Amino acid sequence: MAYMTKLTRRQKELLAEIEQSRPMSIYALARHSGRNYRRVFDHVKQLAAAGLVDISPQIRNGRQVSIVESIYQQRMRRLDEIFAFKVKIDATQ
Amino acid sequence: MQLSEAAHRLLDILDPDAVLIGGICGAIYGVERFTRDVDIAADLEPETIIQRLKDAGIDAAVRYSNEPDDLSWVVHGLFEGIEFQVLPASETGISRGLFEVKAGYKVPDIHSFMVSKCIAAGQQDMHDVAALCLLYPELDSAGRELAAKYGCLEKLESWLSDRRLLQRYAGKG
Repeated sequence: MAYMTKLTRRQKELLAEIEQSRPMSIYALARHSGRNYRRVFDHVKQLAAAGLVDISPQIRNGRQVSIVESIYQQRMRRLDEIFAFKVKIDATQ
Repeated sequence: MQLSEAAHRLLDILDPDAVLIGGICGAIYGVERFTRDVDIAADLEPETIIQRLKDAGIDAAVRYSNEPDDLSWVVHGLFEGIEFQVLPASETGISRGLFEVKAGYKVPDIHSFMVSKCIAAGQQDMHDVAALCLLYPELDSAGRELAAKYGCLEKLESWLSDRRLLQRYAGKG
């Protein structure tokens, strides 16, 4: 992944939307942004290929959905997990 | 409280005059290193920072220094059990206008972040710069130039050839 990935205006807008929202399905993202599902799906795939978002399968309401999360949100979540783990270790010592 | 939440709340209190720096900013840019505190660079006077924190119910104190290699002041405190420090933006190499918002956090742009790390030039700071250079090879020459400018190129090169760092970051960007 290059630090300065070249994106179209639409992709930038979608990325900003992903970064400002909680992780959500591509379907929910399309609905949230008021855009065509297929377009959003294609853009999300392109953002994932550029390493800017992560798509993970999850089961929600008994159905498998693709959840989109920005890499920055993912990194912050990882940082919180490590922090919580260390706090727990410290508390037991 | 989670570290990310503490960072968010502190940034909100000092908004729009502050950005996240330190380990959390590094983590946002992809550096995997444990951190237990929140570091912020602010373009405010320490008294204003303390007042704003006090208004939000957070106790903080300021430590002044006249030592040539030290920052002239550091505001520090504890927020819900998480340590935080607010540093003078102008002395940490952070330019007020050069920031980005990543995952809702205001952070310096990556170049300013590397400048702040090269000014601090501790081992952890150079670890972070090396990790960024390995993650984003297009930043390698800028990283080396900054390190040379701030007299820490030798430390940076040592980290850039560190086997564990290479395994962890090279080609992972």
